[in-house]
Amino acid sequence: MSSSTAVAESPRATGPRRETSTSDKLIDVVSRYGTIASLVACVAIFSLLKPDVFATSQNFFNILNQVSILGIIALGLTVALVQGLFDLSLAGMATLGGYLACKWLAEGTFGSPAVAVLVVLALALVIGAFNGVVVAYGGVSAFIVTLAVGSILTGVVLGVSDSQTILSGIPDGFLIMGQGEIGPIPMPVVFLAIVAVVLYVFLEQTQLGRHMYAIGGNAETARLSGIPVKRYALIALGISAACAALGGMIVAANLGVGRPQGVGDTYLLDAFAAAFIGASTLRPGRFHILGTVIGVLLIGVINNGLSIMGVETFWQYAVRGIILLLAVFAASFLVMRRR
Amino acid sequence: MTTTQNEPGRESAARPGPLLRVREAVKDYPGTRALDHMDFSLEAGEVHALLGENGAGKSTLIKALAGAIALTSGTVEIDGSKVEVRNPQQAQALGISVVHQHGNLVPELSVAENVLMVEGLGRRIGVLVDWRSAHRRTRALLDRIGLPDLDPRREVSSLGAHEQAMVAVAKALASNARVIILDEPTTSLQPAEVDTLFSQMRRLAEEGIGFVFVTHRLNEVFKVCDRITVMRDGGLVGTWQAGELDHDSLVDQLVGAEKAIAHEAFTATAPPREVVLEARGLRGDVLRGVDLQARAGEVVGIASLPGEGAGEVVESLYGMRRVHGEVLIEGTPRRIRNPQQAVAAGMALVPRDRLGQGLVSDLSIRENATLASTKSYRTDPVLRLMRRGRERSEVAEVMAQLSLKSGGLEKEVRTLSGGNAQKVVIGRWLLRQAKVYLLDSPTAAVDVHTKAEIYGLARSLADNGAAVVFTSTELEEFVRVCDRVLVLHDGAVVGELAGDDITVNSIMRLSFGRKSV
Amino acid sequence: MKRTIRLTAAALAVSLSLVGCSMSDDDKPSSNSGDDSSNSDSGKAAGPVEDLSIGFVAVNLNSPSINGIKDQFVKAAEEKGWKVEVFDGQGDQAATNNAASDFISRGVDVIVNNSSPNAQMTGVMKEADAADIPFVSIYGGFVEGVDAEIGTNEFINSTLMTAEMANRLEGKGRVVKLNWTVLQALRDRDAGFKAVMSENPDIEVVREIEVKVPGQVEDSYDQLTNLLQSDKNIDAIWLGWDELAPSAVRAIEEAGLEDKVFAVGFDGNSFAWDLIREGSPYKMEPANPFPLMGDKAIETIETIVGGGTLPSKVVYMKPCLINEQTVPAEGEEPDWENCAFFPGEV
Repeated sequence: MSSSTAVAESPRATGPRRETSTSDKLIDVVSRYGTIASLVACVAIFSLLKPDVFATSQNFFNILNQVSILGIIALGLTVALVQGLFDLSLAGMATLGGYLACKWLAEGTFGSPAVAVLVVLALALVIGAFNGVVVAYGGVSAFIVTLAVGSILTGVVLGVSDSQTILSGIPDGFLIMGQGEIGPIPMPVVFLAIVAVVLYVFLEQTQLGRHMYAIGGNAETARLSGIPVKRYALIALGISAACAALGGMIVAANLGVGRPQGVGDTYLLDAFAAAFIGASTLRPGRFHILGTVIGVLLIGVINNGLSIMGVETFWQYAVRGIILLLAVFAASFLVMRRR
Repeated sequence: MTTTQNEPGRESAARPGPLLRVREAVKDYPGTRALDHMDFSLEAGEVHALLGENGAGKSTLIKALAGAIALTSGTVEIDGSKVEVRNPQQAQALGISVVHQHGNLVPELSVAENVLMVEGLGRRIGVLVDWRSAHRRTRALLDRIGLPDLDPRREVSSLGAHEQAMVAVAKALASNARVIILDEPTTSLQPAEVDTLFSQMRRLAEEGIGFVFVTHRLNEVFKVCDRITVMRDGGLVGTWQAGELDHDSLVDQLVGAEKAIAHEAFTATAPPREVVLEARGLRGDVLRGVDLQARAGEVVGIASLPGEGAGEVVESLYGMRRVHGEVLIEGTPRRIRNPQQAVAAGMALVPRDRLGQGLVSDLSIRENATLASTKSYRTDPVLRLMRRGRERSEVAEVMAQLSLKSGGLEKEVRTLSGGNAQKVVIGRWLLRQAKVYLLDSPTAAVDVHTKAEIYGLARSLADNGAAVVFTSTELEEFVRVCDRVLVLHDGAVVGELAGDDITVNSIMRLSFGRKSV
Repeated sequence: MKRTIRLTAAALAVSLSLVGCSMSDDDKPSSNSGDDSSNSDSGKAAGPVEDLSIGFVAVNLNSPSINGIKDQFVKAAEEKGWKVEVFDGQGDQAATNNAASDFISRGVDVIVNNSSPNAQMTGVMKEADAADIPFVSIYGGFVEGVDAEIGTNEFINSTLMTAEMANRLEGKGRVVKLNWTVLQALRDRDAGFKAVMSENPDIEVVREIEVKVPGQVEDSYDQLTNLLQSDKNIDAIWLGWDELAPSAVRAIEEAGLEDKVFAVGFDGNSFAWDLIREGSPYKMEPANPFPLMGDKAIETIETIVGGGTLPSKVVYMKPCLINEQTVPAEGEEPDWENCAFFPGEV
């Protein structure tokens, strides 16, 4: 009845028992690399269909330029999401940041564009940290806090601006943030690259980033390991707000307009979409900078490619939605399988 | 290897076969055979223990019976006729129900809603829930499981652990289960509660229900079971009448060749050294002035009934609970109001809830191991870059010391077994060079073999100069590992046991408040 | 208790407004030049109307032009001693409709809709009709059930602009259209564009881009950048409304086509005038006389409530043509009453 001989040979099951059949492996590969594959596929298809327009170095920078603002905002959001914090205030923050920089420069409050930009960034850090204080010490969910603060910010900028758009008086030193170029590289892309590298190092290589991932994974374990959990909400939401404000300023500089309304709202949902697409890539279930960059690029390539092909607008919405669904579906499928 | 062909514990002449029978069950995963021609049978009216170390194949067998996974080959029979169990709904229809360790209850819902979840709450006028009949039906079920006074409207989260376990059984009964599989139902229960559970199980068994009882606590097996089946490495070791085995011979069957391990004691061989931890007059909502000393080289146990002080002492020392009193580490008074200060003072906690409090399951072994000591791996206090190379080599060193078995230090902690996961938690504090280890039920839900390993670790922590404070819900553990045991009753120390005076009996008597041992 | 207070307050308001009304009528017999024409236009002159309470609903006062209409209306009404209660829907049409219904059940004398699409308020109109309360709209687009609509004829505006664009192209060339054909005014402009284009076979409409809203500014910039990159041979860009002008200008300049491509649009936002003044590729637009609409609405209400009749339920206002010659100085408004509309008047 017992099969002791066979049993004696089999390895002790102390290590991990991975349930990986061929189909599971396939799903694993698809969900890890599916997003990258579809990015490559999109690029290939568009290049094939419109080789003279799509596959040019000019269009390459054009795409990067078009996604750079979304990218900067989405990367900041990624830091908040690593800790499991939703930041809905970034729409209002982006609008406020872009508007205030334009207003202060146009009115001569600050003579130097650099000073104005730094003041706006500092203000954004403070507002983000305020979000964090309410979340960490008030025990309110970030979703609610940032929703409320976002609404307040929208109101503030409308009130401050009297709903008037600022068009004239913005110095060239500021506009260069959005319109300048370093060699062939547009300035917004330079900013995107800087933000991506800084935040990548921050999250992956520093003590703070490590603690953030730990808190996002299991706050109680992090607390019991002696990590001062609460103050990290301030850091995460501060970074998210600062990135949103930076994005808002680059939009303003790019178009040369300080708009008091609707600037950030455009990016809010796309930023979440990019971060979630990213969280299903390479390391499913984990928000990370590289993934967000891929998500942002995917959205950018689809929009650019479809627009170059002259595809109707509604398709652009639909295709982006489908890709988001597929990416998140594949990732959650993998997580389910793993349980 | 002894193998007794099963003889039904109870009369079942009318039946064409046993209530449940599994023949030649095989379940293959790539690279592993989780079930290897396993045979098992359950008679109506018996309580049948299914035992084995972690990874022996118990959970695979249970999953197959519950319809959660499909067998590679083999058959399942109910009342002698072959059946298919392809999904949980089919298992339910066949009368097979599994009650898991942490219950399959929704804590936010009421007892009635949970119990009648499968069967469905009755409807009035088509849409409205007929609460009156729902509560009546629930009450009838609660009567059957011996909890006639429990209000069906109470929220499950407000119930005690044993009540929750019983409500889970009631839920199984509600779906007309005839085979109830209890998967470690007693892990969170105290001895008295376990006894209540067992007496109700026996009563229900007399009604004709068959219980499969999975546990790591061997003494419970002899209290309640009619027959015992032992599995090892996916296959059957044997099935015995409970009377045919005693504790020691059962352990021998479980661990096979490595018999000695299971009886080894881990008490100190050298006398304790200087006092590392001293607590004076700990006083809070539960504690009523507790004094405590732990020396380098000793393992001090703290025992009590639940809620009467043992867990509270650990939580207070670690800053998780507000108390008055003084805590000194190596003679220096330390202010400990939160875990951060506790860690800074040199404390280390190995919590009872490994996944909820001990580990970040999505992070790698390395990242989990250095979680409390990131400061010592950063380049400087400004940029705070992590030195991964040093991190890697030091984690590797400590994990080798702990003989961790893993697929690599960059693998997520989620992939580890319970014992190995516990080693990562302990490794974290070794890397931090903690001075006081607070071990709170460190062996919860691990097998005999791993338990011994963890006791050994506790001992070596002490031998290397740390003070170890140990608490557990399993009293035998105190006997095997502690040099001294403080027993608390109602928030105060009522006795201290040392050496050979530490017995399950003496601890139990003291914790019930009986001064004489 | 509350009721008595309200009654007293109402009585007080009435007595005060009687004084105020007569005074303002005496002091300023014609606060705007439209007075004469409207009186003569009205089939039957109406007597002075006093002591009106008006429920004024606006879908979104954050919009500068909608807010401007409101300010003008409230000012003119208060000069007449009327009581105006303003509701700001903040972009929420349902809330706006609910507020209008509340006004009706509270028994205001007139409901004024400021800039919400009337087509989305037909329920309110029915309630108003049942309560015998006039429903007057400003820039809401005429639908059955409106007692008076003050607005501009966007079809005419668009045919004029599009024709002027075609003329500048000398009847041939390649144009791109950007629009968001969800709002009625934008649909009317679209129709005007199509009507003129159908008569100009040598002008090719290269692309008709439906802009994403919200995000219209960024999207129009991205789409135009993409397009101009693949197709430099574009001659003119037609914008459904001038909020898109800054992005169009930027895209044209980035493509290095500022000497070749020009753009036209609609509406009358001051930042668009700045672009025209600076000599950017954005060349012209008709600006709608929003500040006059408030006054016109007051006048119309007086006619209706005073028992007069309107020759038509739709009252069109004349826009101003804004181009490089007519653009007002920075920070100033055009002379709404005497400005030119046709290029020949300049």
